[in-house]
Amino acid sequence: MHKLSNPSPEIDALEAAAMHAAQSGREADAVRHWSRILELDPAHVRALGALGQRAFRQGEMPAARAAFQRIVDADGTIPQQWIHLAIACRNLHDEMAEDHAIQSALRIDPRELVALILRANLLERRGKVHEASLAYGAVAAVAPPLPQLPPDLRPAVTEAIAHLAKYNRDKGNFLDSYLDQFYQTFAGEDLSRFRTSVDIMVGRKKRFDSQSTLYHFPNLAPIAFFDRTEFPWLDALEAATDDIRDEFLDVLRTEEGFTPYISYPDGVPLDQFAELNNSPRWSAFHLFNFGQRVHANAARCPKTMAALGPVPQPDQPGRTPSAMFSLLQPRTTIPAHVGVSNVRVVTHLALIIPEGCSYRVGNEVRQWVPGKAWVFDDTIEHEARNGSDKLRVILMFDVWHPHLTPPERALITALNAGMNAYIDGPAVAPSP
Amino acid sequence: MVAVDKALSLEPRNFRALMLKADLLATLGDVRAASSYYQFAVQAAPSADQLLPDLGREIERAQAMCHRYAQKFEQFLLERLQGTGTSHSPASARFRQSLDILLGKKNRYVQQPQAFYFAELPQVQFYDRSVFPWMDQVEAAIDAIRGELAEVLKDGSGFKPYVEGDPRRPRKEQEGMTDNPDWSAFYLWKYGQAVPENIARCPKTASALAQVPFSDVSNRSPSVLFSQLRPGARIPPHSGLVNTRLICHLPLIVPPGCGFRVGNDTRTPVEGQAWVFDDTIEHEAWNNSNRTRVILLFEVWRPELSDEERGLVRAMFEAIDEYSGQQPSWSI
Repeated sequence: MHKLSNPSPEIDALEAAAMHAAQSGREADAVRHWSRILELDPAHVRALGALGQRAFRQGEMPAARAAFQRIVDADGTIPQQWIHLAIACRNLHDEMAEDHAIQSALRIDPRELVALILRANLLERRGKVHEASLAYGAVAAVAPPLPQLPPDLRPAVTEAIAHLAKYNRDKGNFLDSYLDQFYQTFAGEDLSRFRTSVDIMVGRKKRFDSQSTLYHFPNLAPIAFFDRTEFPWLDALEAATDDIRDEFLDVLRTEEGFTPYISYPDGVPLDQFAELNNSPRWSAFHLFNFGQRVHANAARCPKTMAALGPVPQPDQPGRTPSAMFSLLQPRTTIPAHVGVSNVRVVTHLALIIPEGCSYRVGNEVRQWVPGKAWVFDDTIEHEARNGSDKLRVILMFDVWHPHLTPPERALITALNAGMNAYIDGPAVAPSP
Repeated sequence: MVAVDKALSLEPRNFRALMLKADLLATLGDVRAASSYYQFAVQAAPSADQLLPDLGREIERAQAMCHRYAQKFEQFLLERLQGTGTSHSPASARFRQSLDILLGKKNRYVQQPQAFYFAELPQVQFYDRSVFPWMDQVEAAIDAIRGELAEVLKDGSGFKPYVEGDPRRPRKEQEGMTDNPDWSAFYLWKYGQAVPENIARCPKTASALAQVPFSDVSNRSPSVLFSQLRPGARIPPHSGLVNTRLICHLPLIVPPGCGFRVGNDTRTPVEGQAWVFDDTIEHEAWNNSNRTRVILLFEVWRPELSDEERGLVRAMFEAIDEYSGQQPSWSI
């Protein structure tokens, strides 16, 4: 408990004199006043602190330690005082006493950053690799972002993060070789989600969740790229690639029917999309747009429309289906973003793909291959890049999320019709 | 309207301009647009510490308008969906949850495992029991299990605080649960190890669980236990360590006033009726009665994991123990 010193006019006067002397640079006088205070009150915390700090600065560690020890004996409830003692003990190579002082600080405040750093350093000096890594993990978890830290703490926190990264790298390498025999045993199986989970654990990958911005359907697995066996119509679609590309090239020659992919009126916050708004750098030729067939365009692409026939597209007037040729101009990047709803997922059929394009969904970066299609969940963060000097073209359309049951699809369609009816849009009777 | 649009094109997040636009649209009867501008105005509002007094009233008005629109919208949608006939079938439980999330009546919850996240698994709070054919058999043994529990309770010495402090580690408070007898456990298996003296006292309980696919990971899992929550006690919201297992509860003694929440789903335990839930989704339990609540609790593999994946998870934790050379600390 905090021992209150007896109020004493003499001590007050001495303290004022000591402070004044210290401020005026008369250190010897200050020491004399502080020492006199201790003769009157041996547990005077500010006197002990001032003398302890001075001894510490002058490298007189035993004296500093003794002063700090007397402070915590008088009042052991302030973590900072235990930290001073711990540092003095560290400089005296008394690890037992250092450990005790650190633990005492952490018992009062388990998130005290300096004490956590000292604990991790001590464990590392003692060669306790795994415990030290846990302790550095606690430092990294508790520390605020570097710019918000006092400058003198930044190197220690940077070091903690680097230590943790190295530990995780070593652990990852160990696990890779340990698990290799199991990977051989199960060579024929799809082990990708397990391998992703190991990568996430050792920090090689990040975890990505579905982040629907408008309508989120719960209980669905957050899968970046789906297994193609979930979509039996993909083979036939890919087989029609040449016809689809030919129709696109005919359309391209006329230069009619293309609109900027992003087209918002003024006054809408666009954030990272401001640059692409109303820009021809990312444009589309729509076959279905917001659930409406675009007749003029569809008529010019009969084979593409036929290829889309068997695809289970959602039917939500005002929103979906949507299908288009998506054109990404040279040296253009579509910044990372998430889609509106995970009830539909998105298919890309690659048509014209120059070298230097890439596509990322969550952790996975892939390259489009002409004639090949994939299906991904666009409510997981994704971005596209055309780093080449040529145009990139894909056929892009949405399909029902494969794990929704027929009644669920019917209900979602009815929900959309209800929302449309509510806003006096084109009322469409729900079809259960 | 022209002036407001001009103002917004210069400053898209200006709160007063957004409110003006919303009011104008509301007057014109454009409900959807007005509603979205009120919503955006609420989001764009300056934080409370930099508010002028009249702005505070305006924000309240925006919130009230959002609420009014939301209520009208909800009422309309529910009437509309009733006509489809399918909206109350059990198959559409997750659709109804999606509706509640859309309407802002429920929050979205995701798995937050503290130690290990297995990727690409569905985020399910309470599981459909049809996935667990062994559940009927466990429930059928309720009387035998309760009989053995009664014997154990006569001599309370077998129950230990659920969260035990580790003297080698800084004490984590866990909101008052550390070493607290309010929440205590009697283990038949603990962290993958059988507790023979306790199993000997509960042979029927052990045999009722014979068909259960326990998640077996050496040094960690399964645990099988009677979990006791004292009158007035509350287990604060928390999330579990790994999402490769699920937790099954079989309520044994449940006085009125007990509850359990996983994510956005709050349920009342009923004696003899088991459920399985994902404990890496935030959950909490309470006993507001004046009697003790006891359940049987155990861990099972997630049904979505293949045998190969279960084998890999086991091997990985063995590798981690070998790497770190120490016994893991792993509780629920």
